[in-house]
Amino acid sequence: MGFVIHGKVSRLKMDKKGELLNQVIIQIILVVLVFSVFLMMTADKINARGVRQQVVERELALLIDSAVPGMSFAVWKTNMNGIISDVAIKDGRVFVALEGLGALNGYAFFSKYDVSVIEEDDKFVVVIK
Amino acid sequence: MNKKAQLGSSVITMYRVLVIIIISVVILGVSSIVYSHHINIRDSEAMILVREISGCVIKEAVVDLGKLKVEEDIFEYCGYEEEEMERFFVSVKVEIDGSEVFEIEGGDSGSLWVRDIFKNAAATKDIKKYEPGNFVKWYSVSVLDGEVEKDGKVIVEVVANVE
Repeated sequence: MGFVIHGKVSRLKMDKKGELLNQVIIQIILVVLVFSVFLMMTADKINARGVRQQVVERELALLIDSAVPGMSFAVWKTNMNGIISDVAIKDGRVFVALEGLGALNGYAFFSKYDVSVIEEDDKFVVVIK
Repeated sequence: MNKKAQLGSSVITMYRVLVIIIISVVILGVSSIVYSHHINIRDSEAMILVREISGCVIKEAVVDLGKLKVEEDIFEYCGYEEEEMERFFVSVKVEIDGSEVFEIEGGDSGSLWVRDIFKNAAATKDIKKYEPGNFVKWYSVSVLDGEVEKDGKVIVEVVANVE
């Protein structure tokens, strides 16, 4: 009888240990998940994709501001600031999407001329009319 | 372990994960604010706008006051839309023999006191990123007022504010 009770107790202890181990594993997985998302976001900051996007947008805005009708300039998709996936002009602002990072605010320019963008195979052409 | 205890430990686990998420978000938020990088091109914008306005006001080194006096707003005179120029202030002064004979402005003149704050070195590093762009240039011109043409000076100033 004593042997049976002893067996039950040790089995209970093992069950408890198993549950505890499961919980610890789940916790570790969750913590690793949270930290990997955190590290990915931090890496994105260090990579300074947002800053490079700002650089391209501001450069384009200055070029547009100083351009006169008849001028056009090319923005290569494989740019020194990264791969430019889109250049758009909307409501007097220039928007540049860089390496999948979509443009949220863009940058305002003050040109009084008509500005449009034509997409070609390897570049975007900004045309001032 | 009974069901109540299991539920309790799950709640604790969720709580711990939630705390980790909150800490991560706070660290990320603070680092985003502290290490955010502002690229200021307002001085360059002011220079370009001074060039544009000068080109519009001065034709072949002559300023025609007769044309300028009709307009009240320099942006309208030069064909800019008011909405696009909300963050700019432009002042064009015409002088003959050192005394001002005419002035035309455009935009919010309140930008001038913001410029003055930064000029007086009162700006701390924290607000330095909001410093407006400023550029002043003067040109020696002939001023045409009716039939009379005199030697004079045009001073063009642009203040470019934060977006």
